Amino acid sequence: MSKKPIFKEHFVLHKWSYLLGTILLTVSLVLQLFVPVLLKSFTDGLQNESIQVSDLWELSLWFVIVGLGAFLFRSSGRIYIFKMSRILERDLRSSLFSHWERLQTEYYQNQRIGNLMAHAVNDVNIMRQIVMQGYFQMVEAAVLISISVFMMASTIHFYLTLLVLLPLPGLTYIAYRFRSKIQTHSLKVQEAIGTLTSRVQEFCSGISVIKTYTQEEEERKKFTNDNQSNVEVNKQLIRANSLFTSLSQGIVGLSYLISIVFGSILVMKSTISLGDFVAFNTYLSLLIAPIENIGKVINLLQQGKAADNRIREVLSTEPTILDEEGIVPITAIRGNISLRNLSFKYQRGKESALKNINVTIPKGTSLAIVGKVGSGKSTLVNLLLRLYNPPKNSIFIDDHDIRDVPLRTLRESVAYVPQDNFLFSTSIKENIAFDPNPYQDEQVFHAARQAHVYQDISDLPDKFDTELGERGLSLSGGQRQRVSIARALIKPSPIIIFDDSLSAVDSKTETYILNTLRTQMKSRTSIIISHRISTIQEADQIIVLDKGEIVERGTHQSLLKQDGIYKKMFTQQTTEFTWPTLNGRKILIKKRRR
Amino acid sequence: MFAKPYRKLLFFSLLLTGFIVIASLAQPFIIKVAIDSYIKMNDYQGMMYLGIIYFILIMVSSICTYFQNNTLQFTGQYVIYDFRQAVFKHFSVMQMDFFRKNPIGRLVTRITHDVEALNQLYSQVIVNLVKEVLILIGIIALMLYMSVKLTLICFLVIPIIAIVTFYFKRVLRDTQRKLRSILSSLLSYLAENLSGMSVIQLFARERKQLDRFNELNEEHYRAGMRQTVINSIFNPSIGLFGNISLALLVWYGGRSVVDETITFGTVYAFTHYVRQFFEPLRGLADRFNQIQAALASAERIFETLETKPTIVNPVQPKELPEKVKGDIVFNHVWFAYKNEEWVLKDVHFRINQGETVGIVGATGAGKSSIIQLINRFYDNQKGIISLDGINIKNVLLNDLRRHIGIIQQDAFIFSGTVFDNIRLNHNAVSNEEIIKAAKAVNIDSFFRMLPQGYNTMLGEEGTVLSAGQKQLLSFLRAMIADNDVLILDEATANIDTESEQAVQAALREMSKNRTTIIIAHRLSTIQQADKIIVLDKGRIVEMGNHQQLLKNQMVYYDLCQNQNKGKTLKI
Repeated sequence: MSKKPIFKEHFVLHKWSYLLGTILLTVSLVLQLFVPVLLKSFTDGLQNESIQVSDLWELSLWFVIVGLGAFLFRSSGRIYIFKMSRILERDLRSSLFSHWERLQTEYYQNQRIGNLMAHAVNDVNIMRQIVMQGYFQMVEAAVLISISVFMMASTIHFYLTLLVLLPLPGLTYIAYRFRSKIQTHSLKVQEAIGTLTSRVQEFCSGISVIKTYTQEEEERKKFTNDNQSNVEVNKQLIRANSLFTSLSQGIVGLSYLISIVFGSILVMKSTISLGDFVAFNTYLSLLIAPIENIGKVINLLQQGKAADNRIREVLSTEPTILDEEGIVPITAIRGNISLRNLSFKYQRGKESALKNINVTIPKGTSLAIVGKVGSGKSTLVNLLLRLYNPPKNSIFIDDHDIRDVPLRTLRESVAYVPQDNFLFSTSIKENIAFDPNPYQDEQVFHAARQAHVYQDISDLPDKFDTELGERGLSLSGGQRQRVSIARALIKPSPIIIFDDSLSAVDSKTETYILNTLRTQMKSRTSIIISHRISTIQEADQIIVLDKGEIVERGTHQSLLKQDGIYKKMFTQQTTEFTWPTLNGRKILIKKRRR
Repeated sequence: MFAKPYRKLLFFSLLLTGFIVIASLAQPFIIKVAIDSYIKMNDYQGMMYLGIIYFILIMVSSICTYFQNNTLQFTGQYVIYDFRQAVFKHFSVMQMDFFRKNPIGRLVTRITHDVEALNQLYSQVIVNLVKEVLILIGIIALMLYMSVKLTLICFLVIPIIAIVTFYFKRVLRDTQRKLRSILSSLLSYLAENLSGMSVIQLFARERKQLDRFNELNEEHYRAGMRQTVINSIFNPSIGLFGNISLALLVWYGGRSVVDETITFGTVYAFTHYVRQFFEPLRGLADRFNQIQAALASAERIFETLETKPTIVNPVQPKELPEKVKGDIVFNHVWFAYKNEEWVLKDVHFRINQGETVGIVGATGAGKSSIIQLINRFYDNQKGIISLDGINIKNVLLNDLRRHIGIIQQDAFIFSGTVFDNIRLNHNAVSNEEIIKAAKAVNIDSFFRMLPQGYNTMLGEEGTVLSAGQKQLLSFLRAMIADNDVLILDEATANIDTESEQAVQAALREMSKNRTTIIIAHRLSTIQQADKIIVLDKGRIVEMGNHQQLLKNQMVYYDLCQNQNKGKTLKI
C-alpha cells in the first residue's frame, strides 16, 4: 500500500473547490453569529429605553438580511462541499470497478463477492460521509465554536463563559463513546436481522424437505430462538441510545442552568447587561450541536481511516495477468496450438496440477480431454485462456509464446463455453451477443439454432428479449447451458473450447448439437473436455489425463485397443449390473452414461 | 390487536411523555420569569429557588427520557416478536401450494421488513405523534397565555413553514425513492459482474461493462446531487424562516415593550418558542409517511395471516400404526394444481406391501404429482388415496409423513453441520450410525476430508456441495429416517459412476420388505421393478412389468426404442 490516503489525494486534487466551499460556509456561519449581537443591541436598547420605533424597523430589516445571507451562503456552501462527497463516491466506485476488471481469476477465488461488495458499498459510503458530515461539521464546529467562545469571553464575561463551557467537553466525549457503542450494537442488530432473514429464506427454500421429514416444529423452535436473540440485541441498542439521549440532555441542561443562574446574578450585580445575558444564551444555543458533533466526527474519522485502508488495499492489488514487456503486437490468430513440456503448479497447491504435457493441435483439428475430477483438465484450459500464467516457453499459439500474445488478441480469438454457464441478467439476446463486436439479430437467431435453444427461446413470452436473472426469468440448467453455447458459437473465433459443456443436455439434444458443431469445427481448432465418451469419441486426438499427466493418447479406436483407463471408462459407461429384489428376481440396472 | 398485552407499558410511556413535554416547554418560560420577576427586582433568593426548580426539571426530564425511550421501544420489540412468531407459525402450517405461488423474497419481506414497519407504528409513530402534538399545543397555549397579539404575529410565519416543509418532504421522498432504486440496480450490476468476471474477461468485454457501470454510476451521482440540492435549500431555509419570525418579533414585540403592553421577558421567551415550534412540525411531516407505510405493511401482514391453510389435519384423525405395511391405493384419483386443468386423470392403481414400483413417462406426464399426493403436499380433488386401507386425508399430516421417506432430485441443504443435515430431527440417531450409513453409500471419505469432518458447516455460508453429493446426502437422510415407504424422485441423476454402485447396493438393502416407488427418466433404472406404471398426459396408459410392457408394443415400447436410439447414436 504505497499510495497516499485516498481522502488526502482527493482533497489535494479538489483543493480549490474545497476552499471555495469552506469560505461560503464560513461566511454563512459568521452571519449567523450576528444574530446574538443584534439581539443584544435590541435588548439593551429596550432596557435603556434608547430605542425608537424607527430603529425597530431597521433592526428587523437586519434580522431578515442576516437570515437571508446566512441562508444563501449556507445553501451554496453545503451544495459545494456535498458535491465533493458525491464526486468522491462516484470516482471511488468507478475506479474500484475498473480495477476489479483487471484482476485475475485467482483473486476472485480467494474472495467472497459479499466482501468485495462491502468495499463498494460500506467503505465507499464511509468515505462519502467523511466529506459530507466529517468535513462539513468540522468546519462548522471550528468556526462556530472559536468565534462564539471568543465573543462570549471577550465581549460578555470571561469566567461565566468558562463556567458554562465546563460540562460541554463531556458532551463531546459521550457522543464519541456512545457512537462506537451504538455502532457495535447496530452491527449486531443487522446480523440478527440477517440471521432471521436467512432462517426464513432457508425455511421457504427447504420447505419440501421440511414437510417430508416433518421438521416444522424444529424449525419453529429455531426461529423462536433467532427471534428472541433479535429482541435481545435490539434492546441493547435501544438502551445505549436512550442512555446517550438522556445523558446528553442532562449535560446540555446543566450548561443552560449555569448560564441562566449565574448569568442573571451577574445581571443583577450589573456586571453584564440584560442584552449580554440574552446574547450569551443565544450563543450557547448555537454551540450545543457543533460540540456534540465533534465527538461523532472523531469517530467517523476513525472509521474513515479503516475504510480508506481497505479500499487502498483493493486498488493496490496488482493484476498478475497482463501484457508484459516484449509482446508481439499481433491482432489475429490462425489457431495452431502447441504445448511443450508444460508443467504447472497453483500457487497454493501442494502438487503440480500439470506435469510435462506435450500436445500439438494443428489448425482446424480437435482435441478431446478426458479424466477424473481433479486430473488437470480444467487447469489446462485455464492456462490456454490465460486465466493463469503458464510458465514461459510452454504454450505456443501460431509459434508465439502465449505470454507474448496480447491478452486482448488471445481472448478475442477464443470462444469458450465454461462449466458453470454464468449468464447475465439482461435479455437473452444480449447474453448471446455478449462478444463486444456488433451482431445482427439474424446472427443471434442462427447461433441459437445451432445451440438447439432457438425453439426454447421462441416459446418464452418475450422471446429473445426475455430478461433473465433475479427480476427476470430463470432458465433450466440445460437451457442455460445451451444459451452459453450459443454465446460462444456466435463468435467467429479460430479456437473454440468446451469445458464439460454438454453435461446438462439430454442425449438427443447432445447429438443434435454435436452434429451442427462438426461442420463448424472443420474450420476451427477445438478443444473438448467431457466425462461422456459419447461426446468425444470422434475427436481427432484424445488425451487421458490422470494426476496432471497424459497417461493415454490416441483416437477412440486406438484407445479402446489399449485396454487402459479409457477402455475402463467406456465399459463403465455402457455395462449393466444387477441387484435382487424382495421377490428374488434380479433387477437389471443399466449404467447411466456420464 | 397485537399491542393489547402491552397496554400498561404504553400507558406508562405516555405518562412519561407528559413529563418530558412539560420539561421541554419550561425552559424559555423560566428565563422569562427570571428576566421579568427576579432580575428586575434583584431577587437573589428567588433566583436561587428558580435555579433549583430548573435543576430538578432537567434531572427529571433526563431520567424520564431514558425510561420513556426504553419502555416505548421495548414494547415495540415485544410486539414485533409476537408478530414474527405469528407470521412464521402461520407459514409453517401452510401447504406447498402457498410456497409455490409466493416467491421466497415476498415471504421473507413479510417477516422482516413489513413487521419492522409495524414496529415503527407502535414505537415511533403513535407515541411520538402524541408527544409532538402535545408540544405544539403546549407551545401555542403558553404563547397565547403570555401574549395573544405576539402569538398571532408569529403565526404569520408558521403556516408558510408548514407548507414549505410538506412540499419539500414530498419532493424529497420521490428523490430518495429514485436514489434508492438506482443504487440497488448499481449494486446488483456490480455484484453480478463480480460473479461473472471471468466470463467478462474471457470475452474481452471489460470496456463495455465498465461503460455501463459508469452510466449507472453517473445516474446515481445525479440523483444524489438532486437530493443534496433539495436538502441544501430546505434545511437552511428553516433557519431563514426562524430569522424572519425573529424580525417580526423584534419589530412588533419591541414596539409593545416600548408601549409597555408586553414585558421584555415575554418577547424573549417567544423567540425561543418560535424556534421550538419547528422541530415537531418537521416531525409531523415524517409521521404522515410512516403511518402510511406502516398501514400498508399491516394490511399485507394481516392478509397473509388471514389466508387459511388448505391442507389441514382432519378433525377426528385416525391413527396409523407405529409401523405401516405400505399398501398404497389410488382409487380413481383426479388432480389439478388449479381449476380444471387436470394433471392426473382417473389414476387408479394399487401398490402392495413390499413391492418396488417404477413410474415412467415424459416430463409433465404427472409422475411427480403422484408423489406430491401421497404425502399430501397437495390434495386430490376426486378419488381416494389410502395407505394401509386408511384414507390419507383422515390421518394427521405429521403422522402420515413420518412414514414416507422421499429422496428428492434437488435436495435442500440447511445451514448446519453435516451431522445436522443428515440427522434432521431424529435426535436419537447416533453419530456412529450416520457414519456407518455414509460409508455404505461411499461418501464417508468425502465428509472426512472436509475441514471439520462431519462437523463442517454446510449451506450458503459453509461448504457448498455438488449436485451429486447433495443427492447422496439426501439418500443418507432417508436411510437415517428409516421410513416405512421409500420414494425416489429422480434421485440418482447426478451421482458419479463410482458412487452409483454403492448407492444401488444401499438401495437394494433398503427396498427389502419396504414399499418402494422409483421415478425415473431413464428406463434402465426401473426395468426390473415388480410393476411399472406408464403415465402419459396424466393418464395411466400401461401397467405391468418390463417384459409384459415390451410385448404390448405400446407407449413403453416406444419410450425404450427412443432411449436406445439416443444411446447408440454416434457423433
